[in-house]
Amino acid sequence: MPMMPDLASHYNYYIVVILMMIGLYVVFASGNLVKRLVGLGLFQAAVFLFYITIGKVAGGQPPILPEKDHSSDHYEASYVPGADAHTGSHSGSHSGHDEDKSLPDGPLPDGPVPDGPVLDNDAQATPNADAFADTDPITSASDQAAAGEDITIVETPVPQSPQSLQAPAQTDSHGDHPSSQGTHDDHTNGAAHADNAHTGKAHHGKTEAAIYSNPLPHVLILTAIVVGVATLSVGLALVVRIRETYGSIEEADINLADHAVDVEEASAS
Amino acid sequence: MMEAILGLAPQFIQTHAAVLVVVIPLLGAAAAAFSLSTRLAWLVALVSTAGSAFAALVTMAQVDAAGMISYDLGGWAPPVGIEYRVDALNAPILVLVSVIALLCVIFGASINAREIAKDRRALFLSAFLMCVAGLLGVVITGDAFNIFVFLEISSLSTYVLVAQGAGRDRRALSAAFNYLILGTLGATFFVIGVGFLYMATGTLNLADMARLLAASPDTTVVRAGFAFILIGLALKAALYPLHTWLPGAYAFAPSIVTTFLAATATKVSLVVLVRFLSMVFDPQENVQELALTFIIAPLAAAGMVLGSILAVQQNDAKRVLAYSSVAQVGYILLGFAMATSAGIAAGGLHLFNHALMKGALFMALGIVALRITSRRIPDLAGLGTVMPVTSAAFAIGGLSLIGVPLTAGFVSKFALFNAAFAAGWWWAILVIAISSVLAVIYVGRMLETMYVRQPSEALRQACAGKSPPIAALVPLLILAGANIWFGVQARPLETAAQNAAAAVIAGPDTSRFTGGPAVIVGPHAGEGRAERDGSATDGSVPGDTGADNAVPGQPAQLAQPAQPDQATTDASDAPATNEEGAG
Repeated sequence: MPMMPDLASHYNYYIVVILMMIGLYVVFASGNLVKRLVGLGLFQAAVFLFYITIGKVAGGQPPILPEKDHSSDHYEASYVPGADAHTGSHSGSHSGHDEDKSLPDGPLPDGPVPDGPVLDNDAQATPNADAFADTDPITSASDQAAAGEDITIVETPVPQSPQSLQAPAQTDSHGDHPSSQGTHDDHTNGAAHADNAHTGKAHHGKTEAAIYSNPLPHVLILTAIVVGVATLSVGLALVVRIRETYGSIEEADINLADHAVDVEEASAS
Repeated sequence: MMEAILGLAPQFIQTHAAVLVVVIPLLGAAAAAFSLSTRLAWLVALVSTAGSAFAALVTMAQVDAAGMISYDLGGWAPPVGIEYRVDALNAPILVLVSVIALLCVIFGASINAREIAKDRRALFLSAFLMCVAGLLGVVITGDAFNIFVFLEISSLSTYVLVAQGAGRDRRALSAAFNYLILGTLGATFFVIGVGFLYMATGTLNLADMARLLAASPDTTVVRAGFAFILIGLALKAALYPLHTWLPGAYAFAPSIVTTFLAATATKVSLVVLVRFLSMVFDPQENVQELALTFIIAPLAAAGMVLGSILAVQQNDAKRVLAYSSVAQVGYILLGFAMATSAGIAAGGLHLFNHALMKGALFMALGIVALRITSRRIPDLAGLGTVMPVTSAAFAIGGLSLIGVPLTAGFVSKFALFNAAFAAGWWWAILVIAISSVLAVIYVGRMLETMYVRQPSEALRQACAGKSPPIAALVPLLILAGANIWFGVQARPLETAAQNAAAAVIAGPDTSRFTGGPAVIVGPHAGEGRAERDGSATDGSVPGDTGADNAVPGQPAQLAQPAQPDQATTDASDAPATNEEGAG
């Protein structure tokens, strides 16, 4: 059945929809004001999951730049998958660079790199690239890939380049549309620069590429969470006032009280 | 006049007018919240709304000269940064919202004392300014998620403002809670839609989205995004049957809040809706066209008729006007649903005029509320005798609502008729006629009560020897006068509406995303951030670059091949420009 593969690979979207519907149902069917707010929160949580799932890259790290290695101009390779033993080491230029030296030199592949030339720093030619690939050649085709910060360093190729360009399989792309993970960056969070890094192969010690999840949905969700918290607090403040005024937080009682006033107003003519 | 306004503004204001429109009320809200006295808070509110109105006028003058203003927040270039985009569709709405906010603040100088507890007045004004800032931001921003943020800013403040009516009627609390639930649902639907669009295009900038969607417009993701955005914004705009929050919120809120909301809140959502419908999504595309014809238009028609019927049945004057607002939203959306230049122009015209009408009506009721606490229609008997000026203003607003010639309402209804005629929507003409008759009924009932019946003794005594406070009277007369003025001098508004329609149909200017030279880039903040898109902008005044590539109302280069309706536009333009009868 065509449904089953969808379920297996898109289970997260099913979860989103189910949560969303549960939340909506609670909002509409519940007779208690606080429960309605809880349902609203559930509905919003489903939306958060939706955004997070858009941006998730399989094997991707949180989009946080590691500490800058002060002994050189390059960034730490602390977040390299497969180099887990060295994550978080700040002054650990030794750990990072040891692996660098084993990288082959090589010119940058021209073909797959998209409109990114504006991003190339001078460091692109250096072999010890504690570098992070910044553009996914396949999925960011339609983007200008204009990064916010001028720190992106295009990495040097990895031996298994043909396979590494299979990266789209790792991104949560769908079959029926180009899910170009944009580098659109909210200006309030100027940090993010990276698209999904594409060289997935954690060639132990051989690659300096790090894979990040798309940071933009994270930013959007932080905003939405804040909005949700604000809404919840205004809602609860209203519930407090309603409780003080009506003496109850059950929808039925409140409606009855309001209706009584309406009837009284109408009959007072 | 526009040049005079530009001449008045210092260079700093000219460069940053677009962002100042939003920032001034935001800062004013913070200042008002921390004000030590209510007088000071009111002054802060006055200065903020006046400043915002001035900045909006400057922006409109700039758009008049240059066709479109694009302002990059923080100097970051889109699609990475957030862009504020003012064009012929936005600029009049910005002026409308900020000027009405100013009038409401002046109106509130005396009215607030009766309705809001003294220790809350400063915070009340602070929330009011937040609402203003949010609404202005929704209109001006060119970034989809930014719309959500500002929408929620304005909505949260609105829930708080509506709840302030609990001092007089505790039903304001349940109305505010109901509004909170529904409003948050609407905004969340909107953000889901934005998520789908982001999935499909990878960008959040509206113009960029339009460009990318033009290439691959009809995938399931795009359709889902369209549907969610449509529902979310329709709920915020109170399109029938998603209108249920509106009557309660309008009826029980304080007067200045009702006036402001009725005049601006739904309008702003409608502007965003039309922007999405026509400028991001292509209205010629199958799904969008189907939605317009088979969902929005019938619902708008239903709202027009059912809203008017419900209005007739109400006994509370504010509720009558609230249901009437639901009907008027139907008028506006009917115009937009036609997707012709004349239809969109008529819808936009009615949007503007309705703000004037409802503003005047609710302000008059606010002054009446100073004298009598009841809002029931029979209790308003004889108002024409004891409160002549207020009743006259109310009558003008009511006649404008009906669509009597020489009032602004007539101009927009006539435009709507013409547009429906030209588009061949006969059923729409029938519906407009029916709902106009119903409007005569519910407005006429109120006018008859006020002018024909005799005032009760209690009313006489309440009004004896007192005239309305000046601070409340002046904005009321301004709004009532505007109804007449724009009914007689219809030309400027009609031209503005036609420019807006042309901008909508032409689609957003996407040249800065296709690698071309930046289109009229208005001011940049340019604080140390270099342009990323290679455009040669240097924060020059729009007046300089205006000469280069702007025809007012016509974006320079269009990457999106938006086609105005071939067959109907030509036919419909002729009647639209020939309505001398309106003047």
